[in-house]
Amino acid sequence: MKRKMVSVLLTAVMAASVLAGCGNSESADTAATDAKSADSAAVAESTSAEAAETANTAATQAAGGSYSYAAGSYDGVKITMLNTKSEIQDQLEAAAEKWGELTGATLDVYTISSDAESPAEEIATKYAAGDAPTLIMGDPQDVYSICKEKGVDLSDQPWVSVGGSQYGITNNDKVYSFPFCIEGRGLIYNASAIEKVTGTAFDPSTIKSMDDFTALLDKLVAGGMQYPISVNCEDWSLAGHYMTQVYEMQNGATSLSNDLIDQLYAGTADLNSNPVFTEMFDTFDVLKKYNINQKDPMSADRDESGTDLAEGTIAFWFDGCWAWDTMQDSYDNSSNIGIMPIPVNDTTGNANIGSYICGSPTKQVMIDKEDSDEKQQAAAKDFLNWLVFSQDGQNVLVNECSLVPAFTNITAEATNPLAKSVQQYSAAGKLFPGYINYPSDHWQKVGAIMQQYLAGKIDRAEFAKEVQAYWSALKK
Amino acid sequence: MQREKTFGQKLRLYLMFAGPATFAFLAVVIIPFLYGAFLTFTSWDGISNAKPFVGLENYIAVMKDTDFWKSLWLTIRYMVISVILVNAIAFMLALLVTGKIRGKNFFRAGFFIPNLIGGIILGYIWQFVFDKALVFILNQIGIDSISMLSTEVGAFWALVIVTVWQYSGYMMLIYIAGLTGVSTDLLEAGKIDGCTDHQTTRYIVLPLMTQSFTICLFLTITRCFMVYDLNLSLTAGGPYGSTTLAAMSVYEKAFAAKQYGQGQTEAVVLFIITAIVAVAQAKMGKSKEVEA
Repeated sequence: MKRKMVSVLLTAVMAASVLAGCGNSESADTAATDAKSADSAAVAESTSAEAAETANTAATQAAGGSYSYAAGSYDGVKITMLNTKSEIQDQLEAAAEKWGELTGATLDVYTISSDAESPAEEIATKYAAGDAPTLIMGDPQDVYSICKEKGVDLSDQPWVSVGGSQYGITNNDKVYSFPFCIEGRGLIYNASAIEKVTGTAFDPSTIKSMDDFTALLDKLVAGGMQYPISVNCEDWSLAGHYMTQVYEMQNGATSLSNDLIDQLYAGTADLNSNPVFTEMFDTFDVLKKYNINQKDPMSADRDESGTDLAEGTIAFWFDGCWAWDTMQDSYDNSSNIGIMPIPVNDTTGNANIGSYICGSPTKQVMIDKEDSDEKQQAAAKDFLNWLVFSQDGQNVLVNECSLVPAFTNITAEATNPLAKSVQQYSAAGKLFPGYINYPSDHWQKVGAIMQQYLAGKIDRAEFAKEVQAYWSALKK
Repeated sequence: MQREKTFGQKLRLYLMFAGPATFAFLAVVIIPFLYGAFLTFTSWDGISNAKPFVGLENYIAVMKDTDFWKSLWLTIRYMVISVILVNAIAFMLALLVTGKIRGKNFFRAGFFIPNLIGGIILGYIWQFVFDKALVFILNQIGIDSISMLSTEVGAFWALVIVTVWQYSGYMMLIYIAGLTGVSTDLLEAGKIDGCTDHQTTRYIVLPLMTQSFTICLFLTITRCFMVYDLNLSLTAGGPYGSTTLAAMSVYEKAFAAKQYGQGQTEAVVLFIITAIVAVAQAKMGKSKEVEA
């Protein structure tokens, strides 16, 4: 315990010294933060007329926010960014180039293949090599586990007040990460395809329970859509997204409760008699029953599923708003596509189950302080500010990358139907957050068990038992 | 007259000829190995600055880690089957392309080409073959089938098939060298003494090329033990984690489960087992070698 305290203190001192160092450098962002309300100071900071113009437009854009972006000058500074959303790699590269022209810095964005590696593995490898990227985009739990030791304290950044403190990763009241986007997951539906088969208008809010859902599915089958659903076989989708909702919905899908997770660690949980587990897996059985890949569930292909849904071959698919990437080529703009909650026969008596979807900042960007010098850190901060407060940056987030930004000063409407859908839930306050502190191999190990359940190799009692065995074997 | 060299002279000579190689070997093999061995006594998570010393705890944990032993047992089965098939097929191919057929060089190049494709790409290509192409063809000719990679047994054999396809050409090359290295004098002498083709191969060629077998077996055994790239890109350990071979298990323990210390310990155990098998095999092979 004592040693822990010492290390916490040391980290704090180090963070403080790094910040002090930042203050001394000529970095524009610190200067700009000081001049929060003075637009003129921000303009004076700009190095070129073009930059000044951008800053001005950004200032008018940032309605309500008192900060306006002014590009700093970072000639010759080279930074790298780990991008773990491979589907927006091209857009980010273009954005990095644009920002580079403004500031003179070089930002090299690279990505990893999401099939082969998890962000956690990549981050650990890079730190082991002493070559960590300055900007690290990771899943929340990855950033959470290392931010205190490796991350720059970002509490003083201007975007903290417009959403950063709410959605970023905080530790000891310090903000350590930049929430890159809000993502929601749930059942993706194609309303137009459903209407075509059933002949009646489809309103996702009328599907209140699993029984409603099954009735609709039977109607679809009777109408000629033999298999209305696609179920992913990927471990991250099964255990990282579907199974996790069992933990996250324990408390009625509004606030997180760690009770079940604590019990699982302690080995005292009985998953199979847990009401949320039961209702979620009753619905999972329905998904399995109508699954288009049911002959060979383990060969499901996400690209195919996305195309099928966009074209209306299937009506439902459990995935998330990032799945837009798989559909955009086959989407013809006429279908009404959106995300709805997983319909369950709720026995917990909570009204929120069935009207909330899980949505949270799924990608967090932290700035490394271990392998990056002060100049690089300052440039990295500048890039993040550019994304939030400049018109070009906002354009990158919303239009180019089709994301739902986590910041209130960005008012632009999302550009694709899935993101729009998430934005609507967000505006209505109907998002429940994902839990960020899962064991880092949960999605892999539990995913393998859930794949067996999906393929019908084990029954639900065995599944529950093996998941419990996984948790109780962990060292907390 | 040759005078005895002093130690200094010997050292200088050694450094001049073997210095760079020794340095490289130290830097990329010996030092990382020792550092890795040190890490097995810590509970390092792979990313933090703290490396707490835990003594033999990791070794005890490895003994109890059923997942690791399961993957090691799987690796041994995979290794035995692959080694037999690779070498049998490679030797046949070598006999074929050193015999009296047309277009020898074309066939040699053809059989060797798979070895030029890297493991990752190879895995993705074959994944497509097993998942899509094969299923499509079988369904077209009326056989209702699912992807080989979706079943545990199928995925295991898929790994074996691709390994055989990848390495046979390479081993064939070594066998060709062995076959053509046998002096024609001996073959002619055998012929004069009335050997049939079969007898020539069995009693003259084979004993003289034992060395090739030793090399090929050594290479295939160690490669199969350590395979990771193919495993990752072809099956990614699936379905349901049933084809996680030892190297992948080590990697997952170290990086996905963030237990670097224990992962490193598993790597050391894997190294020891591989070393024992490979050295024993090389020793046995050596004792069978004959010279003309």
